[in-house]
Amino acid sequence: MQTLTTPYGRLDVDPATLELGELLVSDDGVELEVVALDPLRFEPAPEEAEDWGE
Amino acid sequence: MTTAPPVRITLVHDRLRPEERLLFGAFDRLGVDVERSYAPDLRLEAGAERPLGEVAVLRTLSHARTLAIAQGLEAAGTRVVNAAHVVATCGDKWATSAALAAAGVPQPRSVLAFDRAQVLAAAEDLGWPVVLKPVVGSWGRMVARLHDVDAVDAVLEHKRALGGPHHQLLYVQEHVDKPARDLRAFVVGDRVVAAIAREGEDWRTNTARGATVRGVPVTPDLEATALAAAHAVGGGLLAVDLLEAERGLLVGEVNHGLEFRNSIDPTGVDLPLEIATYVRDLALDTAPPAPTTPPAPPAQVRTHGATS
Repeated sequence: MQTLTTPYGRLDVDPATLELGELLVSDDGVELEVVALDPLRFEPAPEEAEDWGE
Repeated sequence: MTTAPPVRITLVHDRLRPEERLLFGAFDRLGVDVERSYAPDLRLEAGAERPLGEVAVLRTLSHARTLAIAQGLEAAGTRVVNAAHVVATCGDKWATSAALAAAGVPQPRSVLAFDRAQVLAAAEDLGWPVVLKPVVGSWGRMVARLHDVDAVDAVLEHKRALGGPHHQLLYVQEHVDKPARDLRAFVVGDRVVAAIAREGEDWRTNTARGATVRGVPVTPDLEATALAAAHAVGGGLLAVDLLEAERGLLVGEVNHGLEFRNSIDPTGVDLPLEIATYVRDLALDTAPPAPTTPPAPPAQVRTHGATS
């Protein structure tokens, strides 16, 4: 486990197990989506859109 | 013995939900290699040949994104699950109603209107209360049960404020008196593999709204209605929502991006494995790419001199 610092707060993660599209919550309470693995990059997860869902 | 398809299968996703993880696990159990494609990283060029292989399973969240990817991949020669025309129909409640009606599948009476006067006329015709739904949307969002003219006016005012062409399509449905539950049938190809009842306090019995789920038997009536609905919209991997009305089962919606995480335990059916098996069989039935052969030399063209 590793603590990563992002502009949106800190994350305790195991970088080896992360997957694209995975959601994580930072210690600041921000939902982050894994958008790249190499190098590892997070972005605030998109808000639920009107046309999302089944 | 597991047969691995001789073709490339790709699962396209964006946000990784439990469903996508369960599907990857099911493909693993079948011994089927599936490539992952993270939709935000995709760049589809018109005219490119099968950029994601022969078979693609779309698990993206947005209807618009899913439809665009399906159209692009199909044009490039890929078999897409679900097919673009299925996504287009199921992602639009009015298109679904039209398809169900054309196939004679029972459904709540449904009306499309474009202004207040016609919504009110529809409500008088269908009987109050009526249900106003966005044509595009899910999880029960912005679905309103309207008991009188004041409620219609309030909702239409909000729709005007929201803007956008979809909010100007006023999809009105009769309110169906039914038990405090609805049914959902999981259709995989030409089979109904499981069914659930969703029960809740909210009149919109979506699990996204806290409805509880329990497995129910797939009765002949449920099976026939669900398969008819699935066939009407083009078939594939579908979740058919059914209402138990006095006049029989009515199809409420047909969902093309089915969510199933909460339905595995109550039904005892391994839904991800059913889906993965369907995709595997589809891939087995898909012709592998033709071997690359060197291009034939251009035919010789003889010129006989300029004519004037």
